[in-house]
Amino acid sequence: MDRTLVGTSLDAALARVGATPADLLAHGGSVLEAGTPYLVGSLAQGLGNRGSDVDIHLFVPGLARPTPPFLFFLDQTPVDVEHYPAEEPGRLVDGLSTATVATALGDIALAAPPDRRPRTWLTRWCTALPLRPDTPRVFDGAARALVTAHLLRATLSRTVLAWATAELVAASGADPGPAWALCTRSILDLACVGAGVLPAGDKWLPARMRLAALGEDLVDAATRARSGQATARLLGGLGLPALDPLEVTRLAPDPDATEVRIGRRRYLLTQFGRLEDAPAAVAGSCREVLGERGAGELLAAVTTGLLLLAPDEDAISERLSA
Amino acid sequence: MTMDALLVAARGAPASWVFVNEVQSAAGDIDAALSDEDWATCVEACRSTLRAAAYCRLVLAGYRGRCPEGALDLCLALADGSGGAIGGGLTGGSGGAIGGGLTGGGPEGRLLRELPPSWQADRAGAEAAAARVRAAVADLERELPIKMPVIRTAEGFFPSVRIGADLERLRAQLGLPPIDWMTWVL
Repeated sequence: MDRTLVGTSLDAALARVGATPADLLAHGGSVLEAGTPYLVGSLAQGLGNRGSDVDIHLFVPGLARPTPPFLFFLDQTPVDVEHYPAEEPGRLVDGLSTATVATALGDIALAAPPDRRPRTWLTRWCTALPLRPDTPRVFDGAARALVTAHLLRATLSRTVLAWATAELVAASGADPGPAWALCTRSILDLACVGAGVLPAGDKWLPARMRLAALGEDLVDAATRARSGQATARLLGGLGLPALDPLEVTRLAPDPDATEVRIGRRRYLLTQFGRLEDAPAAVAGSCREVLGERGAGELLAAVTTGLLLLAPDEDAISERLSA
Repeated sequence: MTMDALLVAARGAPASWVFVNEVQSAAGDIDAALSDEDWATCVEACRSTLRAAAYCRLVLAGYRGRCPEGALDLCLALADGSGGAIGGGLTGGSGGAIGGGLTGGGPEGRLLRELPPSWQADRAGAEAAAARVRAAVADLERELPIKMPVIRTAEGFFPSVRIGADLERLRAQLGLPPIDWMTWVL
């Protein structure tokens, strides 16, 4: 079921930056005539303010690949125009797994979420508003429902990662307060997506919470949550199956750290631009690895780019479909 | 004024672009939200600005890629507020309990901790946060070897592009590859 909330109209969206569709089309001129133009991003999602950028995506038949953005100014407002092949939205949706599980929060995909860039495109195209009348929406209801299931999954994966991180920080003896605060944000984000208010830039979380009309009880409980138990209660309250965050997240060597030899010595060249002694191999669920190493040591390896802490997508799918 | 050319070209140039593309734009959102009297979004923009500033510091200290979202948040969450936060190491070593090589950085972790939950923010909280974050951005800007105009304005766009072209020439002279735009993003 397509539960995507359509938060705004084109006129109302552009009014936030003091513009009208006619202004935009007049200033864009031939730039906006190369294909079918849509307003995307925060303004199209019913968010934004006077300082927002106007983001336009144009779908161009026959274009080989997306092009870098083109920038112009509408008075003081930056307008970013990006060109995409007309077939791109359909191609991306066709690539999504149709396996989903029904939960009280909505259908959730049983597959690893798309990478960040295509995920952003899918989100934007779900909420895109046509600039010209009589243009259909980018996705039909069925496509929007499938994309939403994958976005819900992406947000869930991010939530279990934030939860596992907070558990590891607490286990290390460091103050876990800031890590739990990040987990709270993820849970509220999840509740927004469940209510059909799709992800947007991080800064729009409170505005999205308003659009989603999240209950005060949920927001208060999430704001206070500073433990695994409280987090489990919140996720259970949203209608999600029970998950052990340390079972469904993994620690493994960071693939971006590459081996370097200098004479007889071996190092790992990390993304932090440092040569580090290669640590003893670590790979497994956080729960397994925590049995072998201290949480503090593991977190230190994550913050130096030696280990990567990531959701175990297969394990999450398994738990969701159990 | 004397500068280390290789440091300017290899680290200063990408850090300047992160400053322009990520820090400046997030800081601009603070003022836009204040004008809109949207205190919650203002606090959020403060948060985004601090994350961007922390990433900018990482790049200035030699970070080589796209922002490591999880690791950045973890570093910031572990920052103890005594200056031993993030910054990836020119100094190296294991400064804090867990900080690993990410020592000797800026105040971003501490400032993030001091932000109220955005959805509970009022005018006073938002304005106070905005003032602290603006000061942190000004401090960071002073640490960058190159001063960049605000790019996303009609006045600043072309001057920024010109500086970018000059930096590319310097990088080429020193045998460095061109800046890959897709790498230096938050």
